[in-house]
Amino acid sequence: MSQRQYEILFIAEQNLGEPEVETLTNTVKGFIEKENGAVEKIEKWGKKRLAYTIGKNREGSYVLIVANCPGSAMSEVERRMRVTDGILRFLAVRIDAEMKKADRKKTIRGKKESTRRASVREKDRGFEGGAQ
Amino acid sequence: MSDMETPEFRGRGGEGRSGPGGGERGAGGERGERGERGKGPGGGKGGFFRRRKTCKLCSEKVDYVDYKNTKLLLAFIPERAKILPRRMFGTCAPCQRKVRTAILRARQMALIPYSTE
Repeated sequence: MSQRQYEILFIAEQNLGEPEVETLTNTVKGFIEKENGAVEKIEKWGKKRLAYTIGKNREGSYVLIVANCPGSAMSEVERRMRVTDGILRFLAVRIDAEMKKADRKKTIRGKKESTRRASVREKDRGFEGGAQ
Repeated sequence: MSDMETPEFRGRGGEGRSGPGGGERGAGGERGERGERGKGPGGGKGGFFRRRKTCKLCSEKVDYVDYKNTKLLLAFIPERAKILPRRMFGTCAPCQRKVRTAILRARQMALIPYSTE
């Protein structure tokens, strides 16, 4: 099965403390691992003020999870997250394709830059050669 | 976070924007810019020089517009938090598309407001 990289950001309710958020993160991690996925990175942003209230919550704890898992697993993970209490909202985005594109762009740019530099150097050398 | 890597744009909207409620400068200015392309200054009604807007994302070499990078996205939304048309910022079509999806995602995750009062 092909593995894909996903980025899952979820907001936990404001009345949950640090340990509760931790357990919530672990449950989400469990969902992913149950579906043959591997969690790559977990980033806790802590409590942040929401741009607008979501069901009486003025703030929420943001947690970002980067995971590698087969595409077919995500629907199940999402379904489970939807029924989990304490998660205000979540967003799962597939990032591997975008990252690959960005990387390719970067390498192309790097190559262009290096050739440009090389050509400039050559020109300089040619000029010096002509002067001598 | 990715804030570190991607450059942050100063100000909301930047200098290139003629402002959503820019009254006198609004639609007329747009026509002027299009007319100026061949003729140079003096093509518009006002007759003052307006430089071509360039795509900020392309010139800053931002490859991936991240919805989590609110600093970057806030540069593209005015006070009322509407997504403005391309002509306001001069972003190229692919970049505008990226910015748009990023803003929509950020809005969903309450990182950016849908609207302000």
